[in-house]
Amino acid sequence: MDTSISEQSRPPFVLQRAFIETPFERRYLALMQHAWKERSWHVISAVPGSGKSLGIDELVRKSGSYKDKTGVTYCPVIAIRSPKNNARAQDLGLELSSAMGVIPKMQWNRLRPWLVQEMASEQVECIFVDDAHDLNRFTLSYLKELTDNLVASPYKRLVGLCLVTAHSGDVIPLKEIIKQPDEIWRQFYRRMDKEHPFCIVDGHTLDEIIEILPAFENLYQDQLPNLRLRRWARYIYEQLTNPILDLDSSRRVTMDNLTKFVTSALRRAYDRGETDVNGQILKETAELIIQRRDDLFHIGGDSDIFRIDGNSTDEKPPSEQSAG
Amino acid sequence: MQPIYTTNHAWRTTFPHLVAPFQDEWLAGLLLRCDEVNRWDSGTTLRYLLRVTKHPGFGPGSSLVVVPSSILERLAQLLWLPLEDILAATYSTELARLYPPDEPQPRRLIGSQTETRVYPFFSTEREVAERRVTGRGVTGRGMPGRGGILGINTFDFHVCPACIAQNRLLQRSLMLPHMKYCPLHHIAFCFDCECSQPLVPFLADERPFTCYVCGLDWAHLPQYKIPFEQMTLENNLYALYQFFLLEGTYERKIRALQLVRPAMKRQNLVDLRLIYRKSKYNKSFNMDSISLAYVVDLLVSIEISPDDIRNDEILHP
Repeated sequence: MDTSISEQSRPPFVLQRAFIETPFERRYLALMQHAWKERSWHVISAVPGSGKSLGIDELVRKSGSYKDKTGVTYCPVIAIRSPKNNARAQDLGLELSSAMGVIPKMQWNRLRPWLVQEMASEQVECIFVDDAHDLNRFTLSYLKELTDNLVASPYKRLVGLCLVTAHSGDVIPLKEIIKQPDEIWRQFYRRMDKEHPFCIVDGHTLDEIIEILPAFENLYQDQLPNLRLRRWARYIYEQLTNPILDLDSSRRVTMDNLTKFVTSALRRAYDRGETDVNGQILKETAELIIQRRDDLFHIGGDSDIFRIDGNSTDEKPPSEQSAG
Repeated sequence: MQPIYTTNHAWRTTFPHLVAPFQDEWLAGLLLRCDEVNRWDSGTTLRYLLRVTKHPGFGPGSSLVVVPSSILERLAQLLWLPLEDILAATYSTELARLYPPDEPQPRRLIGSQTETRVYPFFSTEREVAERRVTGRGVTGRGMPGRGGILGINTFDFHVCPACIAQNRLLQRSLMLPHMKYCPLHHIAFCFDCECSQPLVPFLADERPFTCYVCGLDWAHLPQYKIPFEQMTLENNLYALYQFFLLEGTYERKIRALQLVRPAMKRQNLVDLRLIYRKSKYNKSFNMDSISLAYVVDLLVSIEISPDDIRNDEILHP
């Protein structure tokens, strides 16, 4: 069957950025939702590129938070990214306050109690800290202080806490700090979930790759009408568990690697006027992004290799109704 | 109105808690309600707006009758409101209609020093110092949290305790010169607290809508009924303000002023003593530019009502 069509008639390839609820995301979201509902504390870890930040965004999006014109603001879930570079408690305080909106400049001794009142007022139930491996003992102890103040009178508000970290191997960041013998860390550890305080969420197995690929087929059906990725699942899995990409030899695949591999192959197929990928295209893709990934790339004459496709850089926020 | 959800970029570009103006609410009240709902000190929102718009601050004799568009635009963005809603909390539109083609200016409403004594909302630093509130005024740009003085008038700012008690409302009518009673509740405006200290709208380190000395909530200020003999005069005054501010145009204002001399002639008056300014009507004033406060004082003093103006328009189209 001839699967190619005239390149002349095709608009540029468009990358799709829709959220795919992968098996990883289901595991990860289930854990975060557990922390939210049970108000439990966890350190949640996954390898870089797993989709941790996307999962947090998805949870926040579905949290039902709103700001009403009557002055009522409901925000059960607060998600922030940890401040970097030896951050102090006030840096974390600023991150937390900016997650609520625009805050006029306040001295730290004012912002500190204001944050407690504000979180109680917005009915915060769980705090998610992304990139929590950047937290240090100052910011961690501030999180403890903040949540302790919320539990105390007059608020009596138990708040869940998820410290989301990137890890490699079996070493979970923060565990060493939290398991220290000092009194403050004993208190911190005591507040953590009794059964699963430190969790690692694994990437995808071969069966899970088989489950995910139809989602890509659906997303790109308009551009590659005959796309059948499932039949290449084993090949893709083998390539993505190559030691170059799977540094811990976990035999698990991250969503970032999978997305990059698949979209690179699809773009290649599309540019050649194909309506499906084939073995040759997948092989070339694997060579380019895995085997020759670190090769030096000399850029000589043609700048067209860096052309920008369709709406691939369109980063507009989701459409919303405008004010009023 | 639609709430803001976390998926909307406006979540991070608006204040944590939002307020929208009530019908006929004054901007000062909206700013104080914004402070209160966000648990900020009195004047925090105003100080923030001055800082982010790089506004030099309001000088002596300024008021919130008219506010620069940069401040209003920023406030509209921070409260996720159409600009028109914020603009309606000032008298900018009304004054632009009454005094074309000039940009709206507060003196068009409250008058200038040459006309008479005015009731400024903000006054000089020295005046505030005399009022022993130095170091507690609205901070201007570059002085966040230091309690520097922006220039607050303390002794002419006034509120209706009943409006505060009901809705935390400062009506726009509080800006109208000569008004002494609330047109909604018919009770006297309060200028001072029960502890004898003046009411101050925007003071750092204080809660909104409270006395900066004794902490009394303005909603608990005493409510004195309007005396019967004052009722008619106060009603006439307010009716004329409403007439000009809601329906007025430059032509209508001039036409109303042209009724003054025939009325004086009918009443055999050589001179006319203005009720509120306690001075004689100065016929040499340029009628195009005298303030609305003067116009209304003049018309009330010669007993010309909105109906008289409308009837004249019908009889002499």
